[in-house]
Amino acid sequence: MKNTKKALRLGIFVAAALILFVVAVYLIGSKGNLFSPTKDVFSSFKDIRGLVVGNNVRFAGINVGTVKNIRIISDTSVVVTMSIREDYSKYIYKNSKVQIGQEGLMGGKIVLISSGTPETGVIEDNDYLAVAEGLDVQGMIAQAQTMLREATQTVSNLNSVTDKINEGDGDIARLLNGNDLTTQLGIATRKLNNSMSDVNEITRKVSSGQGDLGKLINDDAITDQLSGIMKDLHATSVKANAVVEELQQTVHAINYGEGVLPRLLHDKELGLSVDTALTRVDQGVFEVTRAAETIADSWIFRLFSKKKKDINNQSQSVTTKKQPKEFEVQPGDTIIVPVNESADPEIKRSEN
Amino acid sequence: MKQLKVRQLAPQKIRIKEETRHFYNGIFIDLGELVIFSINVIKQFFRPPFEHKELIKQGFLLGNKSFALVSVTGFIMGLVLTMQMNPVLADFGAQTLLPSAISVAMVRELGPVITGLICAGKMSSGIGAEIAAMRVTEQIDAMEVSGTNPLGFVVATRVLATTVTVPLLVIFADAFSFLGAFLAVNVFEDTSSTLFIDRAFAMLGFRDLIPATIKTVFFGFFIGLIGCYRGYNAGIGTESVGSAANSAVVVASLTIFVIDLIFVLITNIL
Repeated sequence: MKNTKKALRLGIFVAAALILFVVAVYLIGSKGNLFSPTKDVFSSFKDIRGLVVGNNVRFAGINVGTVKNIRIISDTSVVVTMSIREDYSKYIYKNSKVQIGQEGLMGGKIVLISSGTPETGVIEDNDYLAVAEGLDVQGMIAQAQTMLREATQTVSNLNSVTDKINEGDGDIARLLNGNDLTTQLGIATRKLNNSMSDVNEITRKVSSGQGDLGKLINDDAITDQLSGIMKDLHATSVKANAVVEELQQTVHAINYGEGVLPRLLHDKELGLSVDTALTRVDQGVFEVTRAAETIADSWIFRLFSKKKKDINNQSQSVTTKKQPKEFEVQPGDTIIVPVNESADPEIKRSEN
Repeated sequence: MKQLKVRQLAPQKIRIKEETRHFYNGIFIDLGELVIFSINVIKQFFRPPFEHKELIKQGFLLGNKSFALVSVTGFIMGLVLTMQMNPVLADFGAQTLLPSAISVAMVRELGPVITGLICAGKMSSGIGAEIAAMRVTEQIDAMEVSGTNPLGFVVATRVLATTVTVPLLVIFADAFSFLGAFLAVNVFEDTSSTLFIDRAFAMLGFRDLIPATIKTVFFGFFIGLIGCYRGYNAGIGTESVGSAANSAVVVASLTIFVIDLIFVLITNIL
């Protein structure tokens, strides 16, 4: 009986220890997907950065599997086999990309799977996933080194600038070290203050309606007058428009109408006729003048004349008229040229 | 005067040299006899009659009776280790790794070695003293005379009992160290048991658990074997009982470290 009790207690002791051992094995095994169906997917990396078999594979922040195997294929290719639990594999698509990440600064490496698009379908056993380049700690250190170099250069530049400022070189140094600029600034500020007080005085006067500008701004009578002027101006411009319009119509009628003036301007035959008529008129006038002279020189007419001297003067002027006279053309005169003459007659302008 | 000194010192030097030679010879002799003894014991494992009742009795005495000691030690180890490691990891900002660090340290090294040393102190000395007493009181001789194989009845059962119970005790020690670590972690911050277990097993692998467990089997075997060997080869007289118990503890403890070293080397190679 005593021995049975000992055996029972020993059995409980052994069983409890074995249960604990089995639980530990299960917990470790479940971490490595030992007790759940999995799918194997592959990825080919150039550099696996210290990834080892058993490292976690993470998708959307969840550990969905482990690194099952690592094989080096060539000097630039290392194939990593990832064992992914089937219950998570339905969320991972064929165009998902993998990269090697770090589980915190102190932690080991992990494989990170990014989410893909459903159009490509869910991953299957022995599929290959593309690799996306990730930034590891060494990369970050390299970037930090570059930044530090640049920061050092910036600091040295700043040192140079501060040295120059301290040594009194340049405008900023003079601004900081010398008193001239501040004195000048003080003078300028005083002058500016004076100017501002003048401006204030002007604005005060303008506001109070003093002077022409003040009246202009404050008095409405000027604007009323201006408004009236503008109205008159508007009316004048309307009338001017009407005049211009009539003038346009007249000019159009002169240019393209059927009256005498258009013909006079554009018809050469009419011009010649007019010229001939004028010539004849001129001849007629000449004839009449000669007739009048003949009458005046006649003895009958002279008999009734009072002063002989005046007659002599008149005779002299007639003699002058008898002499042939050249044409004098004034600006704006119309010249009628016979057809048989040269098209470019020589025109003698008067001095005036 | 000088010649007299030389004459006086010469026998003392010779005596020291002889003692040294005897000591080194004794080590190798002991090692050889231990190997022969262990072969004979292993043979008894497979040679009937199998002493089931004695095995259960020894299993109960060595396993169950050591449970409380080992559990408390494991609990304190987990507690203390956590409290010691927390500030160090906090300096690195890696407090989340505390459960993992404790679990790896306990499962791989501290659990087996500390439990092994405790068992060496308790079991090996107990077995050594008991068998030495049996030898002194001529019970072993009586067994041989009466036809009972003392190697099978006394030694094999105890060695087998320690071989089985020490790994089980290590498992309990690890479990209680986790409990102690969990309580210590909760002193610093509120952590759920689920999160603690998840983190504790996050970095544990079969490469940690299996070699450590195999190692404890050897620990158990050698703890029982050395205790039995020292007791079985005890001299005549009551002082040899104490001497056997004492030497059993020392040699068993030393053997645990040697086995641990060998296993670490093998594990690293693998």
